[in-house]
Amino acid sequence: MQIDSRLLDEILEVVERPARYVNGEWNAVHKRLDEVDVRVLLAFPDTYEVGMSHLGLKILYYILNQRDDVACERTFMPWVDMHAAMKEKGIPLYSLESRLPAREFDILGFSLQYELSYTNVLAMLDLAGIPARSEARGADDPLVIAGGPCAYNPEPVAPFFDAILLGEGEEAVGEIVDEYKRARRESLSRREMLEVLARVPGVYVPSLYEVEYREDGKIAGIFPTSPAAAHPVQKRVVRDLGAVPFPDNFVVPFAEIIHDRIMLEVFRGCTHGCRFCQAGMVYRPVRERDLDDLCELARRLVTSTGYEEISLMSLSSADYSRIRELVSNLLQRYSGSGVAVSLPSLRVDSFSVDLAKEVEKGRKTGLTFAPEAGTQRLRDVINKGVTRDDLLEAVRAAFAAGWQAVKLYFMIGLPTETEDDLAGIVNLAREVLACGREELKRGRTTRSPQVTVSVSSFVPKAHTPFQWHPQAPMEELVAKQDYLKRSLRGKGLKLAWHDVKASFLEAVFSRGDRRLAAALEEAAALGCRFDAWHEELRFDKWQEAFARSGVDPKFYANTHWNYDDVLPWDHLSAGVSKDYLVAESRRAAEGVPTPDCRLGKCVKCGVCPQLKVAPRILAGPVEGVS
Amino acid sequence: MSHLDFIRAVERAVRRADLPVALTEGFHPHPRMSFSPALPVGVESECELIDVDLRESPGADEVARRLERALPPGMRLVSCVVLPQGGPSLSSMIRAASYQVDFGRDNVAARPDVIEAAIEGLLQANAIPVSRTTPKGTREFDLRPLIYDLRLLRGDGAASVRMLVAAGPRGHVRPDDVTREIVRRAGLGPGARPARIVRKEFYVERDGGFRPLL
Repeated sequence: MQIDSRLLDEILEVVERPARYVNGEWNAVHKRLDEVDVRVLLAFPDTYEVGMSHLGLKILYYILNQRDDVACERTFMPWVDMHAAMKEKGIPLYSLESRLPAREFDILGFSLQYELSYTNVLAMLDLAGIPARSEARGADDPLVIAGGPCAYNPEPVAPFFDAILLGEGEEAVGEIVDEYKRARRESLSRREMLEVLARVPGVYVPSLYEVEYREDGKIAGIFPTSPAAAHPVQKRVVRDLGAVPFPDNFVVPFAEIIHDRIMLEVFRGCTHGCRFCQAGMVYRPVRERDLDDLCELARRLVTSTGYEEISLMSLSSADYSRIRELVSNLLQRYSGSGVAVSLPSLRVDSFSVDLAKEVEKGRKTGLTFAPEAGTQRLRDVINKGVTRDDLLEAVRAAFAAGWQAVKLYFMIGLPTETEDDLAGIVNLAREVLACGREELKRGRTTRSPQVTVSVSSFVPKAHTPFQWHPQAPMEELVAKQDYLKRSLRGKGLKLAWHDVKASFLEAVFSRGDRRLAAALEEAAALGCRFDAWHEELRFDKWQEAFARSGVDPKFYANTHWNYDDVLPWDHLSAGVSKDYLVAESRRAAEGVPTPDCRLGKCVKCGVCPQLKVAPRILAGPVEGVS
Repeated sequence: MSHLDFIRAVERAVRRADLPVALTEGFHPHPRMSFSPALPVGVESECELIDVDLRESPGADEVARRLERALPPGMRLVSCVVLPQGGPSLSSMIRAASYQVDFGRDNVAARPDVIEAAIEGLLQANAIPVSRTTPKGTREFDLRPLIYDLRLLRGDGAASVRMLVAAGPRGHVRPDDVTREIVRRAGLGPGARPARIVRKEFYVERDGGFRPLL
């Protein structure tokens, strides 16, 4: 039964941006829900504008709706004002397409993109009238599942999900739907259904594992309690991206969203091997899409959406081995029809600046580079294969080409960081600024260069070589930010920084275990939500929540863990072996870089043999499959 | 939907329709289009005018056929005509617009007789000073000479008002400027709002009077 539309329309008149909550977007899929076998609701625990900008949601929406036996709809976390109004009027969480209450769907699938969206998951379940804990749900409740990068350590939210998919969903979602249908056809109990799902490769059913703890608070062991439960659960990976569907139409919203353009994924994975980067570890191996496929997808997407911009997406798009051909092909085809091309991520080199020059034409808003650390020593520790000369060459090319603003990303609190490394950030920024002054003067312009330094705080992430490493205490991070605030003053210099409280919470949950679920429930009960939104974060409430639930957040964020400790995510595998992570962690301590596997030498990370896949790079062979 | 959202939605529809649209000059080429005056957020419309500059004309029927398929739900093509090159844009010809305002059955204080009295008072006033705040500052102007016609529609009990007011480049009235004045004169309290406002039509000036543009 639909929700009360009259009541909804009334509150839509008084909330901010009502377009977030109504359907009618171009390309949205409307099916008759009584004519399908399985109704899936994709739930994104952040605002419409954020969720609709997420490529994974578009891919799954497309794939699921291609099936005649499935209807897939969408829902998002209502903003604070709408959330309050819905609670007050008794309107439950509903789907955009059919205005059907979330609890009337068969499967509710959450996308877990960042730890600070966890309280929104609880708020959405609460608004839907679905019990938060898997164990409290009955036969009438939807199956509540999740996926996304947080699935690689979902332990803090594990009790809230019936099943969690590790890795890529293109092939697995269909299998989950099939197994769900089979379980229902055979009238299996909920527990039996979960066991059936646990046998789908990549599917982790948290309730089929028991975690035991030691007296010092560390984990004694993680034990499967059913023969259906794999140990470890191995992530799913698509061998050939060209063989699975990629949407040739996107929903085009009326309201402006964050990434309001065609997102064309050029490849998946990354070979740089930065030691802090979870995406670089868990999305391995690198798999490029065919050039012809990309051009054809671009053509179909321009026609079906009417968008005016094509963004070439990946973890580092300049790495695509045929990027020049791709860019010139797209520019040639579309520049006459007012469709632009953009590259969201640039490497620190002049090749990338050349590419940016080609696509950006006249609209030189600003270029962003990420040296990540201030000294060569620390860049070697984190395996960021970028030198001072690379950076200066890149920014020189940028200023010479007419850019006037440059943004530099750095992290503070990285393992082994000293005062010298912080001073290195300041020095690099000043060198870049001086370089800008020189080049702009040479170009005989009266404009002056602008250098923005953006610093985030290091957050240790599961399945990375730095997973054993603590985050620096908050006071230390604040002191480091203060040093940069004092040192990066003056004309042409700007500093932006992240709230250390948010980074602390991120660290707590990124290395968290199941005991944190209680703290999340307390925090949600105290009104915490939208923690990723600076103005909404209520840190005092969080402290109260930790105290009430009796967990010490610093144990997770600020403690050094040993190589032989059982980690909360040891039963979950991203394909990268623990031996490799230990070896990388040791090399980091010695400041020894590890070369990119693209260059020919296998770094023995274990992904290819473990998952029986191979890197796929169009131009030039890559060794490394042993 | 804001006016900007509307423009973006139409631009995308025109691109999906694969019309041979002329582009603007510069680094960000846009389709060359012009729009009738912005519709205030929350106001519905049965009449929005869009000029689309084409490089070549596939003919009005073909343009209409392609555009109809490409418009998002909630937007409907009413009519499509090919104009001679170099003529004035539709939007520059606009002189007036009509709106219908429904106070709705729930708005019990807004009885037809109360609204009618308020309208009479408003029409008899010599001047109606109102102020409008824009990002550029606050501006005072006299609303009275910009209201060309205002009357109560006889209906089924709930009060509805039809207005014809100045619109376009030479002077522009927003329907809420007028409804606010009616609400004030009817003594409904500052919070009382009509249930629904619909833009009905645009008018040009011809033969000494206002004629519907379409």
